[in-house]
Amino acid sequence: MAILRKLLLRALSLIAVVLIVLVLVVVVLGATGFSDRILSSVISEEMRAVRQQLAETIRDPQELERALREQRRELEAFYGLDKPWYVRLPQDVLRVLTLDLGEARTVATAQGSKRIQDIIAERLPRTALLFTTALVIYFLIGVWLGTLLATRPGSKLDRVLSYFAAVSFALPSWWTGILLILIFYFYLGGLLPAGGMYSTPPPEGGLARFLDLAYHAILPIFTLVLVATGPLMYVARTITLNVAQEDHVTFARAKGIPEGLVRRRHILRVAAPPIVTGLILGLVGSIAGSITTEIVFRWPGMGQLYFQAVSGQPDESLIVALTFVYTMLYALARFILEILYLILDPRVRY
Amino acid sequence: MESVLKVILSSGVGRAGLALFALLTGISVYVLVSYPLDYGSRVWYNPAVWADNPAVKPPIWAKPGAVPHSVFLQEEPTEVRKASTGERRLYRFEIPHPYEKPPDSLSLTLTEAVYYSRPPLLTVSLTRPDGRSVRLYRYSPPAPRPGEEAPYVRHRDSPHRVDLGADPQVRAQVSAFLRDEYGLRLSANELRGRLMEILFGEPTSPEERGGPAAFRPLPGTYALEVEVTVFDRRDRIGALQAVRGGETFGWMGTDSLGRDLAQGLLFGFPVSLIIGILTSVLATLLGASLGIMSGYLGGRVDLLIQRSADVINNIPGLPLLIFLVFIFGSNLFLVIIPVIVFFSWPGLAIIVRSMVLQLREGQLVEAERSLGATRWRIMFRHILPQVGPYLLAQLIFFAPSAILSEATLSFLGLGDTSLPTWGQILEGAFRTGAVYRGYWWWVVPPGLLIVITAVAFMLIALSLEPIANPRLRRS
Amino acid sequence: MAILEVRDLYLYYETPRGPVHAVDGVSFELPEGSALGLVGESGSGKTSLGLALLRLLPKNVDTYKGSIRLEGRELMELSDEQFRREIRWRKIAMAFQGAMNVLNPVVKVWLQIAEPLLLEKTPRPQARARVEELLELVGLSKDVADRYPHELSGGMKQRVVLAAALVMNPKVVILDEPTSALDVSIQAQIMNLLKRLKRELGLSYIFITHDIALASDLCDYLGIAYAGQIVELGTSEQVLLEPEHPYTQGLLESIPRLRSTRLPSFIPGAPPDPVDLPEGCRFRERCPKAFERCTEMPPLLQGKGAGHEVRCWLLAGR
Ligand SMILES: Nc1ncnc2c1ncn2[C@@H]1O[C@H](COP(=O)(O)OP(=O)(O)O)[C@@H](O)[C@H]1O
Ligand code: SF4
Ligand SMILES: [Mg+2]
Repeated sequence: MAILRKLLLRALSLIAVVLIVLVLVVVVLGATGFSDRILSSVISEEMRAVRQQLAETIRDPQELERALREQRRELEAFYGLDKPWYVRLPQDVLRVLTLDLGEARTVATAQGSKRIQDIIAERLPRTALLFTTALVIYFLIGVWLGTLLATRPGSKLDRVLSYFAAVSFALPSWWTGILLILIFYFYLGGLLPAGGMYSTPPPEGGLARFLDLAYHAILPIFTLVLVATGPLMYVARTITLNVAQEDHVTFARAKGIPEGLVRRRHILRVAAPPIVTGLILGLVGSIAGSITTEIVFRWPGMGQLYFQAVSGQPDESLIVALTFVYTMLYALARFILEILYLILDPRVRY
Repeated sequence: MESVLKVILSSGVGRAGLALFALLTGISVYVLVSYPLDYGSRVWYNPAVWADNPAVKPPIWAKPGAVPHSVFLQEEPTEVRKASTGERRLYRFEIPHPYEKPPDSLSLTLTEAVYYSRPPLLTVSLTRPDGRSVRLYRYSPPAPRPGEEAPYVRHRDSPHRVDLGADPQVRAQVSAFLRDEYGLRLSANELRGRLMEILFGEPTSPEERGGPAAFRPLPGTYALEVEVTVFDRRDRIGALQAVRGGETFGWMGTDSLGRDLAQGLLFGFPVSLIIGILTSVLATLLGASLGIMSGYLGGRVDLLIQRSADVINNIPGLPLLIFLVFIFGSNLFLVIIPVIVFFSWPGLAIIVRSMVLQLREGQLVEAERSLGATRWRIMFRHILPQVGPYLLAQLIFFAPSAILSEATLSFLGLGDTSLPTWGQILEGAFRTGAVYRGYWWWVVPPGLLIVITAVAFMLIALSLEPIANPRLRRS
Repeated sequence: MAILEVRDLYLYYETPRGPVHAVDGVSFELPEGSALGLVGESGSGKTSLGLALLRLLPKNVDTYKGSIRLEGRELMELSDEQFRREIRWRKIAMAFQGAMNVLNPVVKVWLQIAEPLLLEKTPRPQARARVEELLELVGLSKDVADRYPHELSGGMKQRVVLAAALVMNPKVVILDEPTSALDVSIQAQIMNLLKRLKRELGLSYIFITHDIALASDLCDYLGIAYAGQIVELGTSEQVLLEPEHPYTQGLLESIPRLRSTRLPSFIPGAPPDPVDLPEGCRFRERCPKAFERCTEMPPLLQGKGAGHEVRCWLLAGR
């Protein structure tokens, strides 16, 4: 029961965070006049079309101007521009919360839907594919290497990999991606593709398509793994090393427990919860990494979408929706890891 | 403070980090004293400055034996001949060209022409190693405007530059040259993009040729001659500059606008260090003050600070960073650094708070309080110094992530364009597809510098692990 | 007959500054069913001796040699695997110092106690029953079995550690400062428990402590440790009533006594650096009775008769 209460509390506070972020985003958009500017430019664009239409039917210039003014007023009411932002935006928050995310201005799905819901439904799995695969791989490698190094601190391998960890802390994922493109695409004569999710044209047939997807995913996943493994490895190593020095480990050995079991049950098992904490702390970086990696490899996921939404012709609805979805995603990932932590560590269970 | 330095120096990692940091600082100081502060807008983002440079060329050390980039400047004529009215002044540029290939480009720039009656006339020709001379180009500065008084000053602020490898006039002249000297008939249009190959070469013989006209390189010394005919002895020419565009350029090559990457990269040093240091100092100050306040004052203030810290801690940084910089603009000091600071302080505040809670019960503070010291005095005179070493260690931890955050924003095109940074150089490279074309000199060095700078801080931070993470201190 | 016989046991640790002489030629005998108290200041190598007896060597071990005979069998000849299977916990168990950190924080108490049993393929219900029996034996309720260590108080943890040490019916139990982390009332409870267990189960103890008064309460024999060596060894009566070594005398004078107006006096100074030991007698720098010979040569352990042995030049003359 205690554990359920604890989980509920965490869930509530993460939901609160999502809410606060959403409100923050909306207030910033409103208070800076950004929202108004974007809406009026949307309206002006639509008015141009309307003007052309009306000009064909209404000949009298005065009549035309009046009709246009009427039209504009209707559009303003439609978009809510006739009300101040602090009246209009709470509705936006509620709208977003009910997952009615509005329409994108230029981006559309493969089927041509402009509803942001559909767009995100199309892109989220792509981002998740890249992100989760990388997460699983770097988690396995990082923890394996880190705990391995902890068995021989000060060895040559240990020192080399410690420096690697420091460097990989400092390695921006996007630059790593660029370097990998330079090597595997340019210098190795197109051994691996420089970007995209499928070849053009995509191959026919399920298996061929899947292989093509995997082929395109190699470099982005490799990038994310390369960048995230070092820090996690370092954390895992330090924690394992600390646990291995604790008294209960000697106690276990004194009991005549074979070394393999000592390592598994009395070192790694005890090191697991703080390693999960390390993973939680690395999550922010991983999300950032997945955004920039998508951009570098032109992977059509949410990160690239976000980039499109802020560059060129900015798309307010898309920005709000994506900030919201990313915050949700992060909260969700964090929540899952925290459940894992609770399962692993009896000390925080009540 | 001293103890912190001792800890850094006691480990190899720390010494390496400190040495790197000293090197970076040295370079930054050099750049700060030798570069103008408005370098970004005045030089880096000003295309006129780079007009003479070849675009996307690798560094000179990368291609030994390549045609180097050479600049020839003359402020005084080599020879002056009197004429019936005025003078003929000859500017002669000797261009040694012992290479088996033509240069990338050849350009001439006239800076400042002052005349009193009629505009001077410039005639440009090229004398080749085989003794043949080609007339290339003629030019007169604009004539006096109605109502303008002598002396007439031209091209003082906007120098007149002619690309001798692409100018239509030159093409027409060379077409005539080929016809007269070799009997080759090539129209000015057909010469598009081939001028250098022709000027710095000779046609292959007809039997070799067979097909369309081909040219083989003609190594030797070339002379570019500019004859300036003035109609008043008082007339003046400021300077003439000839530039032979190389296949390589400078120590770090050029980008697609011909910008000298060495300069941009150098300017990145102080910017990056300032971002790292300023952000970490601000984040530490903010985190420490809020942490101390939270721990010492308790009550509602504590609750408020801890809740805010918790919320910010649970926000995925980059999406919000992108959003805020996008909305508030890319000013480095007014937006980017404050926003990074805003996302950095919570972790520190939480830890400092728990340290303060322990210290608050300490005897020293107890004694001070009984002597009637104010809360603020106790906070800043007694508690701050005690958490000091820890804060110093934290400070260094903040720097690398600040540097990386700024670089990431720049890479996304949200950087402050008044200052060139490594991230922006990379953004330009990526946007123009340098990666796919293998322009490694444009892509590798800026990223490497970002990594090196972050690693310098990282190594120092790693060596401070015993202070920052007391759990590790025991044997 | 002695159940445990230790001869010239050495355990040095390697450090960047040189070897640490933690156990430096220690010999003693432990008769079956008796308790030997090992008394010495912190750092004198008491824990190291316990670890050496269980062959629990850290990575940086420099020298490990000597003879350990258990029921007449030479343990030093056993392979590591044999030692682990046959000796640890089955013959010699150890209740570690600082019970706070001795238990694995993420494993339930009963599993930690039953671990060696389960490893031998004892069926779980039987192992569970044995654990509950042991818990009751050390004065804990059965439901402690399903708790995690962080749910227990210091005294309870110490009892759990004791129960764990008894699970395989060992002959010898090494008790490393079993009470030093506990407050006085609980300390007394644990001491009574130890006495009872010794009586009921016929255990032999090596009782490690820095508190000579505590040792005298429980032990039949006392060994006084200083800088890795035993400086005085004998029955409790011999050591307490006729202490010969100046260090032992100092220790005894530092005990506060109820029926005495004399204030307890403490031995001035600190033990020597175990890497850089003084020449001659190791106690020399703190000894009130030191004379020339003490600086020249290290004294040897000298028999005084009836098993009472002392390492001091003062005895050599007689
Ligand atoms: N693994 C080790 N490496 C180096 N020195 C050690 C190690 N373990 C203990 N020591 C040193 O050996 C000496 C004896 O320690 P210990 O046996 O714990 O003494 P005690 O239990 O009497 O306090 C101390 O000086 C201690 O610092
Ligand atoms: S040998 Fe000398 S110094 Fe050592 S205890 Fe005896 S009297 Fe004191
Ligand atoms: Mg000890």
